[in-house]
Amino acid sequence: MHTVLPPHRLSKDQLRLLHEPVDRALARSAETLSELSGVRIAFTSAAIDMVGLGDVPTAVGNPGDPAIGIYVGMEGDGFGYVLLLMDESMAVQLAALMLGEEPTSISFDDELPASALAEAGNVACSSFMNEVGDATGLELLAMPPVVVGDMRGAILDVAIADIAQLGDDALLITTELGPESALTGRDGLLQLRLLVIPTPDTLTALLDALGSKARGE
Amino acid sequence: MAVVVSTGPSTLASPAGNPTMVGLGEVRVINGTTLPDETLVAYGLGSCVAICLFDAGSHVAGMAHVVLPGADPSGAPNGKYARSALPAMIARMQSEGAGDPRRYVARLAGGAQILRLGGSGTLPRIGDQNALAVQEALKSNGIALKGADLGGSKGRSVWFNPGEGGQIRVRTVGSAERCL
Repeated sequence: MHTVLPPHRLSKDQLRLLHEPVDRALARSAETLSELSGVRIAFTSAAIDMVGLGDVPTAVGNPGDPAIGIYVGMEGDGFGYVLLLMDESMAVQLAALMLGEEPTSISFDDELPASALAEAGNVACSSFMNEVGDATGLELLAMPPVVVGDMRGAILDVAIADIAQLGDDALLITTELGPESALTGRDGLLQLRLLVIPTPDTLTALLDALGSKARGE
Repeated sequence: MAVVVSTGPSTLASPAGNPTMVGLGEVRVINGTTLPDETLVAYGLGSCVAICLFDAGSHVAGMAHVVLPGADPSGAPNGKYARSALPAMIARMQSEGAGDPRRYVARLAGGAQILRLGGSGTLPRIGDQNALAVQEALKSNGIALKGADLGGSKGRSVWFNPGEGGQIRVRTVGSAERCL
């Protein structure tokens, strides 16, 4: 049975069903990033919504601004993308933390910092998938990470062009991650976002699985 | 390798006018006579292609932000698909006063394969297909292609002001603006 509602709408019950496992999954992603970077990483509560594909790039800032994205494709019982998106300055800080180097020594023309970011994206996105998989009983497999540097809109085009073959809307889960001090406003704005864009069929499967679980089936 | 084709001067200054954003899959049209300060803008094109059409006789300009290379499954005119975008653009431009589409000129930008910085994964290759499909659609509609900045591995932002005679401005991250 299909439980996906018409474009741009999820019922309150569906949103409630999604929020709990998504928040747990984000907590696990933040925890793994903390372990990797050695800095306590926290997250803001997730925003979950169905949006038109045309609105996806503007949902995460100016699509013309430069950014770094780490894509992890989702396969198995579900398909789609999980993307860790950040400003270049945040990417430099994250790579420096992971490599134990000074930010001034980081260049993404070098393979090592790009690999460090790929690993950060891999653990954050894989942790997310594992938690959602545990909550739904679906086996969600993470593909190898891909690091891209470009305009925000161009980075998002990668996922959008794929999802657009299946529909005009996407479930967009966004949150902000960063050092705990930044989260409480002491270090300014956070600049790192996790985006989850499943295919329409995968969203249906997730909601069906969560609905069955809620009914105790 | 990016393909850049230009038949016009490249001396325009920085982008001007009130931006009218053209989102993914959208078609927007403005009449340069009645709205001389409006500029059509598509930010952060990756694999997508911006089709920019200009009718010099009426000063009507249109931009489509094409996402996919095929045609709309329902057959409806639609900016999302390369083969469905031109009918949508032509209808909208003619409702703003543009004439026979065979007198329009076209300029294109986008169709990149976004660059991988590391890791071992792969990304879908849709940019090349979009670029090819859009060029074929222009040809089959008898619309002359006057300039194109297609392919390569970098995203682009595009500005199109009808007051500039059909020229477009294209900018990539870390590069100077180019005019086509």
